[in-house]
Amino acid sequence: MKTRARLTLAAVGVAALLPVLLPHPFVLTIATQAAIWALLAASWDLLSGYTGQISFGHAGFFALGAYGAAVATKHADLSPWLGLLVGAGVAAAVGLLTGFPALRLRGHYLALVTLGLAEIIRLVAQNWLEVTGGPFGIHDFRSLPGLPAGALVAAMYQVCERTSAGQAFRAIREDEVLAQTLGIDTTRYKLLAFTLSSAFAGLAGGLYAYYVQLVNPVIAGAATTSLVIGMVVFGGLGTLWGPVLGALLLYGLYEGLRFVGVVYNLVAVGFVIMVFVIFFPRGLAGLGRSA
Amino acid sequence: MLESLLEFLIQGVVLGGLYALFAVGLSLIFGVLDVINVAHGEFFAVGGYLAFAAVVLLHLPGAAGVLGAAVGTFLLGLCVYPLLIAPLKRRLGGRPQGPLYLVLTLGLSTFLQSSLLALAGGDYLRVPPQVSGILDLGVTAVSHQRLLVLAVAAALLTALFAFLRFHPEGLAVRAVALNPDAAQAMGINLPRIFSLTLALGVALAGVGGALMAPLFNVYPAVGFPLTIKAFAITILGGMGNPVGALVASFLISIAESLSVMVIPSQWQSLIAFAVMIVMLLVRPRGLLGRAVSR
Amino acid sequence: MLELEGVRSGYGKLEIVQAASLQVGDGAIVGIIGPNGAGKSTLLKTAFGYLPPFAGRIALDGREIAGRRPDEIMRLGVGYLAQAGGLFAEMTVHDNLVLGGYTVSRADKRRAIEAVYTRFPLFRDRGGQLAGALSGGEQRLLAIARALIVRPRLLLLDEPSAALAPRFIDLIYASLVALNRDGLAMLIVEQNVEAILAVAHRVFVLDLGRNAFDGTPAELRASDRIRRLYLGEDEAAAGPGL
Repeated sequence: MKTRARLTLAAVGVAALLPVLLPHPFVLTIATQAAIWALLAASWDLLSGYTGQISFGHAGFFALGAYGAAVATKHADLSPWLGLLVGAGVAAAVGLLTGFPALRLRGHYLALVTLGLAEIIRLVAQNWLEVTGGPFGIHDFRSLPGLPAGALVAAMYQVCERTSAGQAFRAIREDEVLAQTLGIDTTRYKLLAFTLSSAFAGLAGGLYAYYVQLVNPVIAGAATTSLVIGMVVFGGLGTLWGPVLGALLLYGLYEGLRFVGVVYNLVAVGFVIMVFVIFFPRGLAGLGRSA
Repeated sequence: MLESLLEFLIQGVVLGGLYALFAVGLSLIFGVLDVINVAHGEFFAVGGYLAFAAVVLLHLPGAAGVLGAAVGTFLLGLCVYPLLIAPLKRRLGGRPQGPLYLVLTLGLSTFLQSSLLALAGGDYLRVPPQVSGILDLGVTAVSHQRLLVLAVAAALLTALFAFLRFHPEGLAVRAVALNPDAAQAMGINLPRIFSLTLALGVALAGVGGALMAPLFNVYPAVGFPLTIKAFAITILGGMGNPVGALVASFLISIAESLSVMVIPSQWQSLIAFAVMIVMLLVRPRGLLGRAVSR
Repeated sequence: MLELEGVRSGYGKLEIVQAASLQVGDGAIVGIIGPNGAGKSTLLKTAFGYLPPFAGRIALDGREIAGRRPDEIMRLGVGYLAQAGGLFAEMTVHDNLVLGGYTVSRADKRRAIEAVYTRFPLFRDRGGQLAGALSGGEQRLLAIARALIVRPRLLLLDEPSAALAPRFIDLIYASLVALNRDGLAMLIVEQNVEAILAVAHRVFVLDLGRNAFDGTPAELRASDRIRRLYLGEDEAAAGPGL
């Protein structure tokens, strides 16, 4: 497993170096966006894979981060780095708030609540013209290279695998009652997971905004949710590096298929989700590992 | 004041017919299979496309379009249980893992929606109304097409509830929803009932899609906003309780319609989601609850 | 009639029944007793198809039925009465009976339900009531009546006396004996050792998922070891509902 983790981090490193080695603008675009998606996928895994609180609303945190960053630079004229923090902060705040009621909900009820939240965020983004620019979104704000995404992923990995918080997360997912009897403050850790996860999702959103230079309500929609969940299911829930690998590969597939014809790429994502949920529950991370 | 109240009330009732067709099927599927069908809206879209194909491409009368949509979505729905849900069930071995089925149907939704995009393109297709004309009620005017939706919804749902209440197969469906183990001991074939129920549920959505095609136009993502709203409706009524879904459909549609008097219309949909979140926090079992908690 | 040989089964990866064998002859009443967690109910569920066996043979009239679904086994003439919650509590008494006749023709169903109402007038009076509103004993009786609608040849019963007042236990067992006289074979899992020993032709003792003993009730009572381990220290002084 350690080898695989190292391989993935190496892949991330290669992705980061690729634009330097092959300075074709298209490669840079793909690598950067893939890294951003990897960050988003990893953030989802932190919440859903590690503590078992499956969220269908990460598109919402992503959008909050993106809009927060865009608004900060466009309307408040802050530097992009501060804008990133604003976006992450907004996402984290909403994430923390969501974490409280989430404590009382299980399984598909939690998934539906988060889905509803993402929809509300999308609706607000679509209709709050003065702030969000409505359906057309915001554009023409400052930019930032997308590559810090890779560093952030590594940071998350450290948190999840090395710290005691990470161990607590996994204990909660395996058997929450047992974790409680072992003295783990499950409430605190579940809230922490929500906050961290949404903060990183917000960071991904901010990086996305600064790279793509356009935010609109679509990013809070179903395609984002599908892609994120697809990437994690593909790569392997609960391993963090699995979703990163899944994101890099799936995003590569997604963009690569764009050459075949714009319309086919999401079909592959949907297909991958179904096949992997049924037949390969551990994703790529589980292949070759004994059940 | 009273006039506009009445006007919005009527519009709300008419809208409720569509919501009911959609939400009752969704709730029934959850009640019997314990699966939340995220792809429900895609069957609505398929219904619209089938109506388009029948009426615009094959020049058949409007009724044929609706019938074709019903049959087509029913047949498509029959494939879902054996091809997707049963294999996952086999692997999970009966352990409850609700979110995994959600992910599965999310995958199906993405697959269907983008397949439609690939096969038919993203253009908004126009379908002529099955009936034309407007009913003038003085206080407000309602198009005959919208009344048709309400009428068909009323007819189909009445038939469905009668089926569930009186017909032996309908009793079997209810039995499976209540107690699958006991149902098997009665000789009821679970996979068959699962397939049948799912197909019935999505066929209702398909009919809705065919009837609303003239009003919404037909495009791949036409059903998705309805799906999310239907989640809210079924949670309000009680997931798994078709009667609850029926009642909640009208509660939500009338609330949305009346809300236009106080908030700008683009924010209408917020009501449904706000209601859903409140219900999930305060009373997850919904207004009427589920017949039995499993 | 029913033969289980070397059956291993359980839930998921957990193996509860390690190696169990038993036989039910035509028209016989066979009991399964043993301590809690011995795998008695699990074995019964496996026989009816609720659980797929990990290994072993299950044959009905010589035909292999391991791995078949419960509704398939039911159609071969086997009825199953769950320990609790076997009825559709949220449906009426009448609808429960109608469901009991799911596999037979409308005419047969009507006749059979009529026979039930004649034999048990209380169900006719309360036909429109929810089954869950009946008392525990009435519910048990309803479950049996429902299972009989399709005229099974073999009944599998999981602790028919559980949580019942002694009066009802006697009534249930009297009914079972009467049904057996008409040729209905039964395989009964029981915690109430007295009740089953009084009526069974043969009893199998299950412990830790394996066969520990089998024989006629007389043979069981004759063995000091069995009496001490499974029938209670002082057999004569032990009351019902052990």
